[in-house]
Amino acid sequence: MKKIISFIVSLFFLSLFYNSAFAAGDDENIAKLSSFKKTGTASGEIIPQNTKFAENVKANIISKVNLPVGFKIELFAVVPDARHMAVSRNKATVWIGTRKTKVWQATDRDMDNIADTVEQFSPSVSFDIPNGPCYSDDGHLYIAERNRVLWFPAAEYFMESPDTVAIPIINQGDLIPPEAESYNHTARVCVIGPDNKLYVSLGQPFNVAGPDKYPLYDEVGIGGIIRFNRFPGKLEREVVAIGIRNSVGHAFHPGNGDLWFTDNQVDGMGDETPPGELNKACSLGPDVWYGHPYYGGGNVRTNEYKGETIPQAKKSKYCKPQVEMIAHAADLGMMFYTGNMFPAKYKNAIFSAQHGSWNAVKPRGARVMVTFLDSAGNASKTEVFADGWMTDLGTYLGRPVDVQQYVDGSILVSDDKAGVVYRISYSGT
Amino acid sequence: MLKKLIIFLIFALILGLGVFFVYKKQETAIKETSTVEVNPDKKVCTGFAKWTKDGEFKTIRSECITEKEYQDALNAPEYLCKYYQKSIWKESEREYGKKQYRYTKEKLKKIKALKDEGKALCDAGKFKEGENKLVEAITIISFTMLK
Repeated sequence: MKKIISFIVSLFFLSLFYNSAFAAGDDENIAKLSSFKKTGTASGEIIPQNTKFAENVKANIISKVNLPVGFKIELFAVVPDARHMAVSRNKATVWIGTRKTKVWQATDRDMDNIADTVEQFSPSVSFDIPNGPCYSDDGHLYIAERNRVLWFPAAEYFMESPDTVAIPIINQGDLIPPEAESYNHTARVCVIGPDNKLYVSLGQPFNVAGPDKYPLYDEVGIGGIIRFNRFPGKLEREVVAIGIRNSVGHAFHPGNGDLWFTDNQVDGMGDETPPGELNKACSLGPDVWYGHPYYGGGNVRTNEYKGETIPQAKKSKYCKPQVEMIAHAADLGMMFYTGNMFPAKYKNAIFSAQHGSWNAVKPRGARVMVTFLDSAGNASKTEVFADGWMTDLGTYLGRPVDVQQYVDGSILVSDDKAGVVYRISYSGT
Repeated sequence: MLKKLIIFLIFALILGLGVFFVYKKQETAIKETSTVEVNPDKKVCTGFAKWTKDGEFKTIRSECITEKEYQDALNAPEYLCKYYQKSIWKESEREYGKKQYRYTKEKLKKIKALKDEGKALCDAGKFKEGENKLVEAITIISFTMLK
């Protein structure tokens, strides 16, 4: 009996050791995957779609969402913890990041524009906050994690296997100095720019960081956006924007190539201040400054830096926001609409998601916004496109995170509260 | 000659004004349109509700005030005193808030002392002085790294 107990206890501790050793790093698997070798990992988790839960989402959430006349919202997929999305080129697979350890792939297999399967993507990789997937026109998937960027050169074609070739573009621990790692403000997003480089936003790990942090942060691009080559070889990492508090959404204008991004602004200043931001990059460079930490959002000075004179180097390169969103609505993912399904007025308009406030007396957000641009490429009007995820009682039915265009010209909206992806289409009737 | 000069000057003036207005427009951020909606009787609520098995949307807890009461609270002279105190509590005293930051015991002690000083000043009607003390506490919180 004693032997059996001792065996079970040993087994328990051995399993604990194995789990912690595996979770500590996936270097061995990444090395194998980079060399086109199998890891022996079992297939990943599958999320059932035709469930009571899905029916409840349709009845209790989707039925409450308000849209302009002629638009329709439906359930695209049940995806736990759904965050930012990337849509593939040929198979219409959607990769969905999370703030946990999994990436999901949702695939429409019977061509009705609704996902039939949702499976764990690349379970042989130990992801760490893989919030940001992005997909290139030439068929490459990238995933920006808390402190690594991975390249999946054939994700669309080997996605059915637990072993998908994965090659680090930025190794674990090299995206930011590990001592600057945090859990909050580390939901990275990525996009491929018109210069064919990969752009990644790096939130800064404070509400407002102290002045001692900025020489390093500005140099590395923390509280900013960086770009680098998206294939192995010379990385040529560059900082293209600084003075951003925590951007969790960016996209390039399909016509003129301008970089636009959202920015979540400072907490603890008041219920109705400072505003959230939608910005257009004035230019791309290491000195182009977007106001933080001297400004807390819009032209509102932060309490922490109120008495400080803004250094001339920053002041002369200050790029003001294009749109001031309501305070604390948490503007996250965004995209430019390039499809042909929606009415013409939406062409090249910006759709952006408001995740919703977390500590405001008057809860706000949980909406999809649309921003129209004028002929000069500046924001002319921002209005609500979809709402209803927040009830009159101030409770969330859902929390939109990202908006991406689907292959047929409809748009997908992810929701990490309900754990689903919605599809919004237009029929005009 | 004079005619040509006048035409040139008018043309330059129009061009200059055009550039001025375009530049001015780019300098000013627009605001989202939903900010114009103000209905004084509309309820402003925070709470939590869920759907029952019978399909009923049941409120578990909810606190509501009217939009007018909310606006009055925002414009009250003691608003920032109250807001800052609540914010400090949320970020450094409430268990969840405390967990989000890499506080040291010394920092937490300093924050609490500043909050108490600020509260005393606010309670005595010295709102500006109280706010300043509370902002000192908030600055310590802001400059503490998130976990």
